[in-house]
Amino acid sequence: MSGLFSSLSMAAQSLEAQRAGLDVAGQNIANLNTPGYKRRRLDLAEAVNGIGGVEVLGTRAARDAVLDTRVRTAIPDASREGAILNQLSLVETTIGAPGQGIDGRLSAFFDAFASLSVDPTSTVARDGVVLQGRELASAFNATATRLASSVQLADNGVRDAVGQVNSLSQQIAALNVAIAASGGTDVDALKDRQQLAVEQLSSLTSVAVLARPDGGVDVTIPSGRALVIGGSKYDVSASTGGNGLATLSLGGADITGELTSGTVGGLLYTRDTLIPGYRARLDQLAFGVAQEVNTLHQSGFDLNGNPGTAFFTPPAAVAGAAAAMTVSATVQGNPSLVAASQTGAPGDNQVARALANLRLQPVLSGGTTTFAEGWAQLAYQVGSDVDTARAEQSSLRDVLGQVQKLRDQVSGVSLDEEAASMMKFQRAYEANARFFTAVDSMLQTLMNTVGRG
Amino acid sequence: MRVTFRAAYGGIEYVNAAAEQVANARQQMLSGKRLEKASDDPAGMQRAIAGRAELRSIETYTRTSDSALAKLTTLDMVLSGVIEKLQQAQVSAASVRGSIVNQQQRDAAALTLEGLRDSLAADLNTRFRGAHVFGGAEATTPPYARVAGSWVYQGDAVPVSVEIGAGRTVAIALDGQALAQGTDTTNVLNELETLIVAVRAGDNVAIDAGMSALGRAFSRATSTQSQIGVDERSVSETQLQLTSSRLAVLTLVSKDEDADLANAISAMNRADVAYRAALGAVGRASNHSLLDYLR
Repeated sequence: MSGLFSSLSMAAQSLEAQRAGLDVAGQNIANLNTPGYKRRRLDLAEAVNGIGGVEVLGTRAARDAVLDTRVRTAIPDASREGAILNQLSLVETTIGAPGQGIDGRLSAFFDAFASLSVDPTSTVARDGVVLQGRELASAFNATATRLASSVQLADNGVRDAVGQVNSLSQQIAALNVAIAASGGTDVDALKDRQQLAVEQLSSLTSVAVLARPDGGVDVTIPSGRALVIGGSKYDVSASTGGNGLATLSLGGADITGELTSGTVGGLLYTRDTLIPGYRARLDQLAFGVAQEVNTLHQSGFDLNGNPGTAFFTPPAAVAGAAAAMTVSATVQGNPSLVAASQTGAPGDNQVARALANLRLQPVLSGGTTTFAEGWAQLAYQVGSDVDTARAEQSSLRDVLGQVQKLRDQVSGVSLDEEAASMMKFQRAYEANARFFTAVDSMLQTLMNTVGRG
Repeated sequence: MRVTFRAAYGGIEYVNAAAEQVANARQQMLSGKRLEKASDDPAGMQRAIAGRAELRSIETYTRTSDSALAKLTTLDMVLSGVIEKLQQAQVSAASVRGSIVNQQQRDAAALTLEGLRDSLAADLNTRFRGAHVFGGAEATTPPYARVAGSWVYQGDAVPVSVEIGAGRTVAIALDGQALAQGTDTTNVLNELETLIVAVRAGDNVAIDAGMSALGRAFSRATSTQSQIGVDERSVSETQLQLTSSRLAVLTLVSKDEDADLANAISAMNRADVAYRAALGAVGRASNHSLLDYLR
């Protein structure tokens, strides 16, 4: 049977336990806004030391491995769509409002030929044709330049993201070392940081995570190539390929095609698939315009009765036609070389009319599409891709938000709970203090009695 | 369910979403446009671009038809002058026909005919904005010139037309030879030269032949003027159709491009209410917690 001193010991131990409870509540409240923080719980148990009382077993972080995995796997898809949306929002500005992009310039160019058909001997009308031809070529050049610039921006984004991937891999490897060195005690703070780093890495590219027995994690990209193994990290390197764009490699292997999700995946998809698709359409349109105009122009005669020359500098190939489009230097230097006549007579306007009517002719895509429709299809494609990315991002963010909320219900800190917890441990501390006082008082009584005797 | 601090105090994303909706609705009201970028309505953008192209095409036809109408009006006026001069020439020739006319009267008539011939030649060499309108496609060369005492046609037979609508054309420069000569052996100016000689000589047979030639030229001129009149009416009708078409296309384009202000105002009000509600919800969450009741 324990004596009064044992009771004092029990009371002191209990006071310590209640204080620890108050500490845990304080720790949780302190980290209300800390990213990645998991609420801590104090594990108490009845003491088995022979004198009774309470014993602090330790603190645990409230984790749910299933929900953590679901959050980590939901992040890359939302990030990918976000990256696509950001890049395409810039591309979209090159399209402009209806009638204010290349479509407007095309109309103005063919209008100039219509004006020439009314006054086929006019040098002023010829100047107008050359001017509008230059404006059209400039519009194609500027649009091609902006698309090329968008590719470069996406490439810069890829290189930045690769730097972040390597930095996060470094952090995770360092945390692995620290967790292993801790011997499994007091590792929750390190694990919180580790998980946060893995989630940040997931937003850059989808990763597979394998838990290690020592508490660390191994991280690989979906194809199985390692980014982190224990305390070692493997850098993704970005080297400049033949097209001037970054080629990504890991462990000596080209992984550019393997990174399809996360910010990196979205940037690569935009850089290598979406924007090149728009550039191809633009080049086809520019090539079609130059080719059709040149063919008709060369079939006619200029104001001097000489056979017509190429109006636009003939494009060497479809690829790059928009960037290279320009009105022939000889025609620019001498607008009387603009051909309007089919017979050679200066007043004949048949070629000018045919050129003006070219706007209505389905000459693209195997003779099914007009130039304006060709531009409209490009505008539709860009708009539709932006719209799809926005809807996908919104939907995936909702999914991610829902999963994060579910996880938050398990791992998040509730201020009300912590307030109740504070009160609970405070009251328990007060009660134990009262018990301590009572035992102390009894000891005093006993001591006084012994003293008088 | 546990309501955590993040759940209770979060929600800024909803505030942002509502604020974005307010900004979008406000932008629509300010600009009056619902289609400012392709992603606002990709299919609408596609239709609007096609509509804008059609609109420009209609506006081009309208401008072309205005120019064509000006040329046709000029042709009409010149032909009226030609017809009048041919009539005057017939009257002058008829006045000296017969045996009671003296030489002085014949010389006076011949002088009148010479004046009419020169005036007719000037009419046939009329220029509009620097281009001859009776020389076919040979717009820079005067259609009629006197070469070695004979009037020669220097134009060609290529009619010059312009589009005033889809598939609708009108001639803006005529084949002068078809007007001045037609199926005759020579043109009306040479016929006048012959007639002037006949008038001076009092050769009634030649005067009769000359008057017949003038009559045929008169018929060709009136026929040509009738065709010009038909073309003028056609241009006017086409312009009316172009105006209607423009309005119809503009209406369609407007449906895709322009904001429905009533809807935009309603959307802005809804977005504003949602924004205030989101602000209120987020703001109210910070007002109370269990801590307020602990002493």
